[in-house]
Amino acid sequence: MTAKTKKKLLSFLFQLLAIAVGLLLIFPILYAISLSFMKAPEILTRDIKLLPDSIQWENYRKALQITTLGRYMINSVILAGVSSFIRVILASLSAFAFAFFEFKGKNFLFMLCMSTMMIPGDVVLVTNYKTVASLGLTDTYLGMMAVFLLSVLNIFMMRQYYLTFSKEIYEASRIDGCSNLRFYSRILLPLSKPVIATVYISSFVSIWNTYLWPMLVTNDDKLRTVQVGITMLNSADGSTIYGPIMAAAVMVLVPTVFVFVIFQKQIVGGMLSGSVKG
Amino acid sequence: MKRFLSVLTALAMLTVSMAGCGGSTASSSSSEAAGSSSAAVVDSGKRLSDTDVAIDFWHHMEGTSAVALENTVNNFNETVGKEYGIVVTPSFQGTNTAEKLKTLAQAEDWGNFPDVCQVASAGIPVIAGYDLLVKPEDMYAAGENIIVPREDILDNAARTFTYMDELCALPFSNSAILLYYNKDLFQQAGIETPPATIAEMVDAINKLTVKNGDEVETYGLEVQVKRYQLLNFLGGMGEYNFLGDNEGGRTGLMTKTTIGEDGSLMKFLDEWEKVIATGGYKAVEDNINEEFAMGMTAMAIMSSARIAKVDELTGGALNYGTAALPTVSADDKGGVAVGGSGVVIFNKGDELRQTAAWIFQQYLAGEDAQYTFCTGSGYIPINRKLYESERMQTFLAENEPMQAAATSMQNSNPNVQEPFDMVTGEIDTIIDTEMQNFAQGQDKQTTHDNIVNQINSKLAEYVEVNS
Repeated sequence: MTAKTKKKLLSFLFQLLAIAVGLLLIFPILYAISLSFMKAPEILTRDIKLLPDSIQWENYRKALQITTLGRYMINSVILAGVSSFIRVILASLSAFAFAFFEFKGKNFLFMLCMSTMMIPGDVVLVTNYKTVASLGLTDTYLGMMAVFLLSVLNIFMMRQYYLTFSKEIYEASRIDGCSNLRFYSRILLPLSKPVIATVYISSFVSIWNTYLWPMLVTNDDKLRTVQVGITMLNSADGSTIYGPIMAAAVMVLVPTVFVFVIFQKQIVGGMLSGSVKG
Repeated sequence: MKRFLSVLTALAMLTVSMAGCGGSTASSSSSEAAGSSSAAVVDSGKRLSDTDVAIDFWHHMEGTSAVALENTVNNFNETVGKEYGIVVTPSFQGTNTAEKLKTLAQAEDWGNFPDVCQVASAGIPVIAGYDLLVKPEDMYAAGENIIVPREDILDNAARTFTYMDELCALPFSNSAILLYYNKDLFQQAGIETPPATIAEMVDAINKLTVKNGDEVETYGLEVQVKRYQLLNFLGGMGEYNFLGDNEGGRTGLMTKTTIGEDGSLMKFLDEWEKVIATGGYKAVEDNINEEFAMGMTAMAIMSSARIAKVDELTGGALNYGTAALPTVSADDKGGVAVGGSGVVIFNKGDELRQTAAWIFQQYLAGEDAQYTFCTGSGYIPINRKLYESERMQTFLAENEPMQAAATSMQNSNPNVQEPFDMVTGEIDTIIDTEMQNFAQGQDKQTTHDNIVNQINSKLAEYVEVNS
């Protein structure tokens, strides 16, 4: 076997493995989609049944009928969309300061910010609730968003990206009379699209999947999010309706998949940017 | 860049406006409430005020039980609610409302407490400590606006929500642990009646288990013995059996478990050892409802609240029955503990709302609500009069599995109760772990000692911090 053939064979095997792993990872989602079209007796069989006998939309109708999933999706879009947007603004401004400014105690401040990543969210749950409640923000979108508006991980990601940015461009623009804010908004942000997309999407997905905080800080059913909506379909003791649950899960998945597919190229670019400091 | 900044500005404005929307929601409901409280007392009929009194009802029902609950609340709003001028708004608050109340209490956010809340019985001792709690005990003593007399509530269901000799909540969604058995598999094995004791259950498991070589194709019995299951086996021993001091934490703080010193745990383990030895016992519940529904297990021990689930899973096609939980020995008479949730009310400084909450709380324990909710969800009614009614008797006659559930609850001694053990989660983990180890070969004495010592250790820690 020549070296070239060996290389081709290895490449083929690697791709085969990659496809197998990919299929393994996506299988639960594909199976959930398939289940969402099955009737109840088809779901509960002793034999393995991967595909529905026929496509029927009853489970989707039931899911929308039992819970106001449409309303919950709007709430989740507002919560995840707006919080992620503000996160990008705050993270990029903080990262800008940490990457481009020189001031006393900069590294200490940065490490202090980083150290907050070690505090589990559950520990500060009551304290955060107390703050939000005393501000009169319970049962409001702003109260739901309050704890998601800033992420130290996002600051870190953006700072690492900015460190790869040429300092000379910054210095040249300063000499030409460009203010910090103008540099940030006219030069830095437009050139940071990959990392902005990465931060926005990762943030959107994580907030979209949040359950506990929005549940705690709101009492009104109208302000529930999609994750709560799915829980409402499930029941440990009562009857679990697998078809509608799967239908709801598929519907809930659509926005995140949609956003991910659109921005995936930028996400990869953003993840890699900053990994090697130039 | 201009476009980017304009999008940014637009989104920022959206944020502010959305925050405003949410805020207005809250303020509108509070202003509505304020309106109701300031209204004058009614001139005629039963109305509490000339404007409707709006109250919040927090619940933890999901799935079809949530639909049954919504129907029950709608019925109230259409009937008794209209009569008294009360409008109830139900809202789902996660699976553990007591935890949410606890968080609010820790944050001293009493203003956001609901008027009415559904809570699991285990949460009662903590909730009894909230100043806002209005106890049905006091309301019945005051004797005002009684629409469901206390005597209508089954004694054991009432005792489930009694702490320090005071009724703290009214029962609402209640259940009892049952033995589910597959009638077809019983017939094939030549068994005529469901087992009444663990010893009889051992015989049944031996006959029902189907093996293919070393692999079990059909298990005789499936149940994962955790706190809920163990307390029912032990609680029904003799006439009744308290599982801890101070009547299992009902007349004072439970500081130790008594299942070791009274010998009840060892007696149970003696019998359970024989269940494990059959080789047809499945000690880990993967999906107990589904496995039973598909005939993979011939018997299963689970809450009566799952009857509706088994029916739904099989579309009513499974030929199964339910029976009382097998007793540890033939002369045990205690029965089982009432499981499930009750409803508490809070006084937020508005007398009208408190009265409205009291009327709604009683309604939920009344005949109509219990019938609507229980027939729609699979929970067992707790209203004595309802059992005497024709509609309930017809329902029970048509729903055989529910009969055993109702009989089991009615025949149980009120002293057989879930203990108020305060560290419920930890005790559940201890029992689960040790009983799993027992099923996998750990010796009886070690299992016994580990359960008793570890529970006492957790209780001692709690007492040290909280007493």
